[in-house]
Amino acid sequence: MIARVFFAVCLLSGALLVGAALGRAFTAADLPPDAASGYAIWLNNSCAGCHTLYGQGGAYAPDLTHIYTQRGPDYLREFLANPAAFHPDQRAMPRFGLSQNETDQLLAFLAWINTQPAATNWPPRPIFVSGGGTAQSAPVADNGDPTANSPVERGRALFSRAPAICSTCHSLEPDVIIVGPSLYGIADRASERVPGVSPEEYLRVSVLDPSAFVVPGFNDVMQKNFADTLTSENVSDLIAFLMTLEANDANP
Amino acid sequence: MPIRERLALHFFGQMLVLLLLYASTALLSAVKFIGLDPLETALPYQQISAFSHVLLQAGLLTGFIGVGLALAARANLPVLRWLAHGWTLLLALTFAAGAFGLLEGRHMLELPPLLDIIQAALIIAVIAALLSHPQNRATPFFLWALALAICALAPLVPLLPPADPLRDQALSSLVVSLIFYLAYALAAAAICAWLVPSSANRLLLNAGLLAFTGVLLSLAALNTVAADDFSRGLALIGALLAPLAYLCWLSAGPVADRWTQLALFAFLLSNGLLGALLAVPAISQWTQGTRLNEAHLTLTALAALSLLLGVALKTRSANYKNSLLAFWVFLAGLVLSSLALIAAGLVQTYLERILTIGYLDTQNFLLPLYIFWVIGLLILALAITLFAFNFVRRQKI
Repeated sequence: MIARVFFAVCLLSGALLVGAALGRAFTAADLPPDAASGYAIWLNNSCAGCHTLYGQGGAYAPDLTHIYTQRGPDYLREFLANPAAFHPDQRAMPRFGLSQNETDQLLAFLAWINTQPAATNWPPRPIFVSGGGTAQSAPVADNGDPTANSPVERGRALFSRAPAICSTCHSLEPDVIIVGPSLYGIADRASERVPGVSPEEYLRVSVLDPSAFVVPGFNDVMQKNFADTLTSENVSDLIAFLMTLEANDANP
Repeated sequence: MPIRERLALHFFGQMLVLLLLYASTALLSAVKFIGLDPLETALPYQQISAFSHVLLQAGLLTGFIGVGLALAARANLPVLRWLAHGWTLLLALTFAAGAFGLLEGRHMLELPPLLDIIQAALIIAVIAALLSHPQNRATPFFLWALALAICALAPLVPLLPPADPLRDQALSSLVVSLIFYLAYALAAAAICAWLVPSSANRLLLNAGLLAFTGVLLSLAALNTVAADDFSRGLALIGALLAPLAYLCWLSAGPVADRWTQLALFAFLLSNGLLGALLAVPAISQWTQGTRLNEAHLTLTALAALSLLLGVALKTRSANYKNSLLAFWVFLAGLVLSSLALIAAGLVQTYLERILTIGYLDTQNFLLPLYIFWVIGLLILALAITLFAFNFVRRQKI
């Protein structure tokens, strides 16, 4: 009899706890119509079969909770049009053949996911698609906000940390192309790229207005919102770091 | 052989077919992680992976129904025969849905909603048909019925409106967790009590503790989606209770055979230790979405599978020597595939989550571990083939 009561109490209290947790954990979310359509596209194409949101879903492809701010809508549009072209030596994402409208709706959904309260708490450190931090850059503060050190050190940290994360698309190794050109020796090349433009100015414009100076042989797919996401100090720090990347000492 | 046992063998036979198909599709999914994949775009990962999930779940459910029939004292055979035909039809539809890529985009719950509903209806009908006999109303039978009902009804919950993405995601995660942490554990406790009557004395106490712990651990699935301090606290209590609950269960009495021993030990490792660790909020915020979650779910499913194979063997009275070979091969596959996934999860957590090296770059480091994982799955497929061969061969005699 005691065992039956114990079992019943365990089961009942378990059910009550599930109800209580669900009741506390959720509030009605304001899902805009575009994002709702994007969510339908997400489900219909089984995106969760490969990708995770908040760490939930398949683990075959990167987490997409913060992909909207990490990559930006322009890059994501290009990527969704032909995913395999972006990571030719990695796993190929299928081409889903989304229309322009569908792509916009999917991006609206990803933007919405990125703004939910849960997204501010998870993950503890950014999860990148490629590039990202290295063991050498690990000493940067956990919150990714390098406020100590010199401008060059801050710029070095920003290179592989949000909100810039240049390493997602740019390598520091010679001739290694991730998405954009390698930045090995950029301090030397920047002075020669555009006559009459100083290397610092060339780099600043390339960050804030990427379409102005597109390197021959590359498409104009660089994220266009750095003017909004980076402070002027961030940009100066990045330039200070990039100006140390000479051809004979690219990663001091 | 009594008709009831023949029906049970019918279900066990279907379970083995589904497991063989699962082993093949799981291998195809895993091969995609090591980069040697000619079907990269022709058969994308999300399709084959969803198919393997569906086949595994269907196989386990079929096995659990078979166990109910094998261990029931009496049964309403005409009704159960019709239900068996209905179940066969459902499995055929499930296979067709997977083969034609008609599965839904709900991770781990990919069965189309209509088939979910039919599946739930058939399972509830089987439970009702068996429980309608007073002789089938022993405590283990009720626990078996409860576990099976959770497996059948839980996937229906995320189908309910409203379709809020966060709520959907949280409910899906919770449902999957409840199946693995709660339903499989309850079913295992019931089956063990059946196999070893002397261990049935403390069945309800152990089952109560397992159920409460299972619920608490399941709430940990909400940690990254919509957690607050309340649910984090519950998850932490569950993580502390889980090893205790599983150790209590293991100490309840001697177990029947090797397959059951392996199942109990695997349950202790999966839900009792690994699952408990992954539920700790301070850990789960780093590990959620890594291969560690996959390792936990796979190990729990294999634990349940081991238990079912043991009952199938006992029902079939199959050749012991050949089954022993299948057992050791199964054990080798389970250990290798689980260890490879756990190691991959640990490395992934360190590189991707702590050092913030990109996901795709991290995957390159994991390649050797993925190769071991594939080899482990290959060995598991061999074990199931050996088991099935033995099972069918004896049936012809």
